[in-house]
Amino acid sequence: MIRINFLGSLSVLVGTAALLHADAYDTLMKRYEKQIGQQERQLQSLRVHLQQKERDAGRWQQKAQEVKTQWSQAATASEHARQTIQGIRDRRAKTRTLADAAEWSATERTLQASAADGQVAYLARERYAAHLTPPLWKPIEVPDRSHEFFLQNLCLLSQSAHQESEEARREETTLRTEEMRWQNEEGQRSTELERLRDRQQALWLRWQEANQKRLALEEEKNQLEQSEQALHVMLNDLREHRDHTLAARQERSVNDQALAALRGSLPWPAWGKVTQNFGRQYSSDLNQLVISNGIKIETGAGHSVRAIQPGKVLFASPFRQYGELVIIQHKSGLTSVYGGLGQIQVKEGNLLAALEAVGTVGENGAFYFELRHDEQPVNPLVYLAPNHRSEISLSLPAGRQGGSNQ
Amino acid sequence: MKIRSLFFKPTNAHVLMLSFLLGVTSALLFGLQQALGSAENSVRPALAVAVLLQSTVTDDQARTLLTEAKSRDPEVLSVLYVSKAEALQEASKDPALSKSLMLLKENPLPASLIIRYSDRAWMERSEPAEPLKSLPEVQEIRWDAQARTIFRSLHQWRAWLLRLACFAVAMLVVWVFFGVYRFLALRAPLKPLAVQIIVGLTGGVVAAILWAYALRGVGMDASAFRPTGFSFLPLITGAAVAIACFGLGVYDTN
Repeated sequence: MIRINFLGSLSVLVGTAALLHADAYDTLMKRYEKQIGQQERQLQSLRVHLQQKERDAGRWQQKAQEVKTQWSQAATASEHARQTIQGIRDRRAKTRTLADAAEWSATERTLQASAADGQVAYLARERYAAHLTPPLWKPIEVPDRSHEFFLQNLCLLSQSAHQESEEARREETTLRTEEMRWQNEEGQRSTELERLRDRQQALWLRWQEANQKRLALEEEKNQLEQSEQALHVMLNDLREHRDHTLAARQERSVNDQALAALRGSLPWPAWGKVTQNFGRQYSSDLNQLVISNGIKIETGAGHSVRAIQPGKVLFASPFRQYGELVIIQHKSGLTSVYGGLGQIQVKEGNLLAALEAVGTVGENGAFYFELRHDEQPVNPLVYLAPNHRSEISLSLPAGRQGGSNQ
Repeated sequence: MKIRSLFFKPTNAHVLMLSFLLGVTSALLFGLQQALGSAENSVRPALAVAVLLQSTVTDDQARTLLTEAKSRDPEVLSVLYVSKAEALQEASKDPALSKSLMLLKENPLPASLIIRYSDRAWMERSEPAEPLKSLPEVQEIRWDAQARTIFRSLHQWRAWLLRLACFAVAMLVVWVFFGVYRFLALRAPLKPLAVQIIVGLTGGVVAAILWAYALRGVGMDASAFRPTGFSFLPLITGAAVAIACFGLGVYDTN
C-alpha cells in the first residue's frame, strides 16, 4: 500500500508536469476565462482603490502641510511667550530685590525703634520709681535736666525710627504687591506658554500622524501598484496560457492520431529483461497484489538508459524510493519516466534527441520505466517495439495485462 | 519779819540767778526736744518703701500680696496699692513723661505697693522691707537711704536729749522734795517760802522773756520752740528752783 501511495505521488508529479498538455481543454478554458474575468475585475477594483488611496494621500499631505504651518505659528507664539516670561521674571526679580532691601530697612528701623522704646520705657520706669520714693534733699539751685533731655531725644529718635519703619513697611508692601502682580503675570504667561507648548505638541503629533498616514497610504499605493503590475503579468500569463491551451486543443486531434501511430514503434530505453510488468500483479516479496504503473527492466549495472523520443527534461533529481528519477515530456503527448537510475546525465530543461542517454543503470542492474498520456499511465509494452516482448520472463496475471492500454 | 525785808535779802539774788539759769536751760531742752521731734516729722514722709511688682502680677495677686504684707509684718503701718493704670495716670501728669508714655505702645510702669513702716522698723532693721525681698512677685524694692540715715540720727539725738531732760527733772524733783519737806515736816514759815517762790518765778519770767527775745534776735523761726506750755515751763522751773533752795536752807529764815 505504501508503494501505491508513492506511485500516487509520482502521478501528481507527472500530472503537474504535464498539466499544460492536459486533455481537459474545455474545463481548462473555462477556468482560464473565469480566472481572467476575476483578475480583470480585481484589477478594476484595484485601480479604483488606488485612485482612492492617491486622493487620500494627497488629502493627508495637504493636511500635514496645514498642521506644519500651524505648528510653525505655535512655535513662534511659544518663543514670543517665553521671551515675555523671561522679561517678566527679570522684572519680578528686580522688584523682589528692592522689596527685600525695603524689608531689611524696615527691620533695621523697627529694631532701632524697639531699642529706643526700650530705653524710653526704662527711663520712664526709673523716673516713675524715683517719683515713688522722692529723695529727701533735692538740689534746688541746679536742677538736673539731663534725664529729661535724654528722654526727649530718645522720644524723637523713637518717633523718627517708627516713622521710617512705617515708610519702609509701606514701600515693602507696595513692592511686594508689585512682585505678586508680576508673579501672577508670570503664572498667566506660563500657563499660556504651557498651552502653546501643548498645542505645539499636539500639532506635532498630528503632523507626525498625518505624515505616517500619508506614508502608509503611499506604501499602500505602491503595493497596489505592484499588485496591479502583478495582476497585469498574471493576466497576461493567463491570456497566454489560454491562447496556448486553445492552440493545444487544436493540435490534440493531430496528437491523438500520432499517438495511435506510435503503438509498437517506440524504441526500448535499454536492452534487457522485463522483471516487473505493468498493472495489477502478485508480488512474492510482499506476498500480496500490487499495482504497477510501469515496468522494471533488468539490464545490468552501468548500462545506458536512453530517451525513447525527443523531448524536454521536466525533472531530473532523486525522488523518494525511485532514486535518481528523470521525467521527459515528449511532443507526441507522452511522458516517459525513468526511475531507479544509478546516475543521471541530463538536467531539467534539457532538450533531448531520440535515444539520447539520460543516465545509467544502478548497481542493482535494473531500472523503472513508465509511460503516461494525459496524466494517465499507459502500458509501455504497448508502445515499445514488439521484438522485445519475447524477453518478458514474468508470467502476466490474468485479466490485468494491458488493462489501461488504449 | 516784814515782807519787804524778805524781798531784799541778799540770798534772793542767788535764787533769782539760779532760777533764771535753770529756766533758760529747761526752755532750751524743751525747745530742742520739740525741734528734733518736728524735724523727725518732716523726715518721716520720706520714709516710705516702694515695692515694684513684676509686670505679670495681676491686680488680684497684688491685692493678695498687699493683705499678706500687712498681716505678716506687724511693723507695717499702712500699705497703698498703685496699679499700672493708676501709675500711668499719675505719671502722665509729669510733662516730661507724658510724651514718652504716649509714644510707647505698652505701659512700661509697674504696679507698686507703697508701704510705711513703724519707727522701730526703720531704727532696727537693716532693710525695712526685708521680708518682701524673697517674694517672686517683687521686682524691686526702693527706699530713701539718706532719709533713713537722717531720721535715725535725729531720733537718736532726741532720745538722748530726752534722757538728759528726764535726769535733770529727776534731780530737780529731789531738790524740790527737800524744800517741801522743810516746809511741811519742819514747819518752816510760809512767808519766806512765798517770797522765794516769787523770786524764782521772777527769774523764770526773765528767762522766758530773754529766751523769746533771743530767738527773735537771731532771726530764727521760733515756732518750733513755742509750744503751748512753753511759756509756763521757765516759770515752773523757777518756782521749783526756789522751793529747792528753800529746802537746802540757803536762806536765813530769820
